[in-house]
Amino acid sequence: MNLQQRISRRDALKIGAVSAAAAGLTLAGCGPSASAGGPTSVNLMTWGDATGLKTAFDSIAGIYPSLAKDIKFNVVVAGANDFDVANAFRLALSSHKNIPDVIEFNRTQIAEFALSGALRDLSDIISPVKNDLYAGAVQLASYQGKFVAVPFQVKSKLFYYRADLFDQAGITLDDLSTTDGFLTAGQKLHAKFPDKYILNLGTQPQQYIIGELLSAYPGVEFYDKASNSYQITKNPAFSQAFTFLQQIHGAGITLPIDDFSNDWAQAFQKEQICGVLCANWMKAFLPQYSTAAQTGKWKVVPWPKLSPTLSDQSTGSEAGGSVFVIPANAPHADAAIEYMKHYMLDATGSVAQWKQNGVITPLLKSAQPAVLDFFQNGTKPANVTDASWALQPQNFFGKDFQQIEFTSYDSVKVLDYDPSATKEITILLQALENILGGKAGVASALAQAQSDMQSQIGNPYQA
Amino acid sequence: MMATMPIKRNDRSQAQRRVQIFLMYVLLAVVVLFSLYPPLMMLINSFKSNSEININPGGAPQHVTGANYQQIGAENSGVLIAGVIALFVGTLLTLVLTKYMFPRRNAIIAGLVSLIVLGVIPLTVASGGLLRNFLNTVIVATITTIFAVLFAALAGFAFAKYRFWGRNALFTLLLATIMVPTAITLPPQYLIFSQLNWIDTYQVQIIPFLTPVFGLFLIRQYMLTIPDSLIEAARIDGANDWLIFWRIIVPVASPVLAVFGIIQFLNMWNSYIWPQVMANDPSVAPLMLVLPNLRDPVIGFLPVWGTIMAGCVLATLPILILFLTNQDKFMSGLTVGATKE
Amino acid sequence: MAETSLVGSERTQQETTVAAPPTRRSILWSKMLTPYFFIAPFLLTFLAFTIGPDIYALVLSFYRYRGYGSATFVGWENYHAVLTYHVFWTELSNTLFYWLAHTLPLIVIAFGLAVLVRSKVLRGRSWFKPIIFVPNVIAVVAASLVFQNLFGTQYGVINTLFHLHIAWLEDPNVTRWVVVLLLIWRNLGFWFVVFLAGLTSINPDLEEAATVDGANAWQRLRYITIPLMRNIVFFAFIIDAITSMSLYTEPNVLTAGGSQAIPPVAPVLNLLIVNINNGVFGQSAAVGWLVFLVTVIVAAAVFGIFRLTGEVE
Repeated sequence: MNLQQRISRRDALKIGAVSAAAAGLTLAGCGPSASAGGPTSVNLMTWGDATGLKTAFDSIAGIYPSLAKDIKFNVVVAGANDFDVANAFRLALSSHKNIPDVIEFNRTQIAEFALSGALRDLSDIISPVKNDLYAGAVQLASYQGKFVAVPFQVKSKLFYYRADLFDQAGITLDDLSTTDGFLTAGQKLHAKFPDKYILNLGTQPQQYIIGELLSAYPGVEFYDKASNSYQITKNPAFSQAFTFLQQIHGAGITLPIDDFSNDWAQAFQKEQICGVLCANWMKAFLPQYSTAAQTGKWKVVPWPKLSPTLSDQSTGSEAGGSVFVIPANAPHADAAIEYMKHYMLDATGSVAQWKQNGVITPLLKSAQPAVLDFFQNGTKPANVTDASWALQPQNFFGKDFQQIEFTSYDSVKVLDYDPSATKEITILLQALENILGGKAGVASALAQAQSDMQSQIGNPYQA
Repeated sequence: MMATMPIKRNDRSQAQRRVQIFLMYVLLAVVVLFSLYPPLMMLINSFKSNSEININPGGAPQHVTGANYQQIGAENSGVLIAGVIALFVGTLLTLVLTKYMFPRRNAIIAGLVSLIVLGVIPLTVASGGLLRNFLNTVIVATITTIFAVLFAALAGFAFAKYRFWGRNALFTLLLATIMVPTAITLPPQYLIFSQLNWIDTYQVQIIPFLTPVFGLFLIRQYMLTIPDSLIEAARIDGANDWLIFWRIIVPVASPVLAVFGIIQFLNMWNSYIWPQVMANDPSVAPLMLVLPNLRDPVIGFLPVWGTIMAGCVLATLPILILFLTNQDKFMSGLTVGATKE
Repeated sequence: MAETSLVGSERTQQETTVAAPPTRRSILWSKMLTPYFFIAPFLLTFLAFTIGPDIYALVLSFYRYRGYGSATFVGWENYHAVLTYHVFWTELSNTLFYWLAHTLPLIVIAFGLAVLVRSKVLRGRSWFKPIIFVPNVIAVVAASLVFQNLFGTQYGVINTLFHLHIAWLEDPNVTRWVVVLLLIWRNLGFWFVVFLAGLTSINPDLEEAATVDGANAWQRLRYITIPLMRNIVFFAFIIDAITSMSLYTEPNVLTAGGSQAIPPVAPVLNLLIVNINNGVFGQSAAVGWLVFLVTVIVAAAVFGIFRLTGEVE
């Protein structure tokens, strides 16, 4: 039989074709290889969406042509969440491959890397502008006294409220300055408008509320190195903060809808929420949800102090904000430093990128006049629709908004996070959910959180 | 024929029977409605605009719109064009080869292979968007299935028809690992693959799934029933083992290979936890991973249900077509090997 | 005579004289090695990418390793941490709940349906099989997303159609039952087909004989049908149990879309994933091996129960 000849050729063809296909697809699936020669590549690793950072580079390279010539800028997206970036960095450190030149982190994440020496010391570029940066930005940049990060986005605490409805209900801002006063004001508002509430708080809040409340306390930390123990049950800050949330939740003055739930945006549109104890980034969301119909009705101020029970809540920060770090072993550290010097640490550069995206405000006080001028007097750019122009903060909140935001930067206090901050906050959030869901009291939930942290983390400072 | 027994039929028992039969139909109708309503809803909702779904989630669309499907192809005119070309050329090739190549089966295989190879073109052109993710799923599922079936067929043949040192012990050991959940290997594989630089690639989604033991079991069971006389006859004709495998065993075992192939394809199509950890870069992520995260670009966190439903239809259609044209293979595999998903 | 030869082909030794006769030694050699070449692709890939990582995971579970730097040996500390973590136990009980709450009712429902569809009284029987199987074919993620849309609190189909305001996916107590509903919906087809195949495999003569002896439908069911289907049901049950321990997609996508479900509704694999995300790889590996342990215990329990209630092949 002639089987052997015919079959083997066909078999060989088959196998060859399939292997070629597989190889071809594998290659196609591999990422683009780094370019060789010419301008230096600077790889910036972030999470989520890369377009903002890319346009920022383009706008800065537009002003400083030497950057455009010398730097080839790549943004690498490690995943959808910030922990993807942390993991990618950990893996890069262990394999000594693909170490990025710049990494965007949330300020809560850098403790682990700063302590292990994986981050380059950035005193040489930050110290010169130290006095020009807002106090909050300086705190962002430092960890335990050393400058290891370039501040990127500062998160300060802002209270947004419906001034018109507060007036109608007879509530003034002074009424809110104590926790009891806040409760009474909330009840007054709800009595006057049965379908409206002073705040929204369901049983599954976002975790930033914890950071916002705790950061107002001076010197609060989750773990005390000196006594080698967790402070959740020992430091009154935790029980005070959680008791406050339990109180306002139980008093019937909060709309039982959580931030970033499906119903939250609708609730703004239906004017059910009259106040938001939140952060400055809410300026990008609140107008969208409330729509232009509520233009001018919302006012923005720092948080009410809620003293004496809650320290001074007009200060603090949800998580500090986000920062750029440069790994100690970054392959193109010099080029990366060049870029950083012209980016957030440069007045002109940071204003240029801010004009593009309107979100990342310049953190240098010397840039303030330019920002305020553009904010208050700028005209609608050609590529922005009328509808979205109406929702920009200067048009929705009023021309004084930016000044208020800048002032709040000086009240930012960054909590002293330890390397296991993410896990600790998750455990605290579970405790909070138990409290708000009525499954546990404040004391027992915090005790549970304390023992969870002890058994799950142990000592966050050990390698 | 059943022995007929004298049964007293009277009106009352006949009416009772009618009621019983009616109730059975009602029950089955309920089950059918229960089974088909969600996918029907998925299809209907994919033709509603995002805002309409919030107002009218359950009923017929007031304004039928194809905007969601346009959204899928939005960034990818290049892909669509290249994909259509690839499909066209591939089908042409298959037809031509079928005419001139024998047996037909080989021609179809060659045609499919050329289709896959041509698929490389859309991939390199595809910028992003759901269509790219869909292609990723197709690529990963197809390649894994082809190689998994090949490996399992080769090994199953050896375990069934050869006696060699360690055969029984090895097979028992392999069977024992069925109880080990794949997820155990997630942490170490994550570390290993990052050293190999294989995170966010295709191979990381393919290679760990090339050796499902249930497939080996299935195939071996079936091959045990192949009469040895067939193999003997081929040996007498002078065929070596390799030829016996390709010319005798594979055709005879093609039912079970098809069943295993379908099960494996379905499992790979549905893979979620693995790519979530290993391959969530949008250019290589499968469609399944991307769909739940589709959010309104303007507002930020609101799911865009219309586009999501359209993506779900896209994710479901190929398997559904495969199912409707191969019903027996889908359902018989369960009882031969009793696996689901 | 070489032992490693194709079964029943002793004749071939004498008859391979067609082409240039290979030497006896090379015949023996190739005959001995051939099966190893055949199993090589499977076995090598399996060793490298399944067994190897399994062992690595076991070793890793005794270390503390952040993915970089040094790995510190910590003995049983990871296992201790996981076993004393209440979230682990919550999620484990969730997994067991999801398994039993969907499988047990499903067996009853699917069996009833199979008997119904097989009975000769109904018309259009051949349509039901594929229709009932369709949910199993819909992609898992797609099905979970559709259910998420169906059961949304404010804009869900169910709440809108029946003018309810139940927080299906926001109240953890209700959510667990929605997950069970999704699992039942998806797996109805699987069990239906299993029972249908089992029923078909029963010899009709047996049923005839029983009818002649005066047994009614219910007695035939109880004494003939059910006992004869034990093996097929046992097999399906074990496979279902093993795969149910690795449940992940349905609860997470249904309740949280692309992110992680909260502990009151999450399955146990969530802890493994969360540990990877937090960079504690040792604990993650420990969770994995504990899940394996649970799978073995569950499989043994199922095996034991079936054994106790009759013979198992």
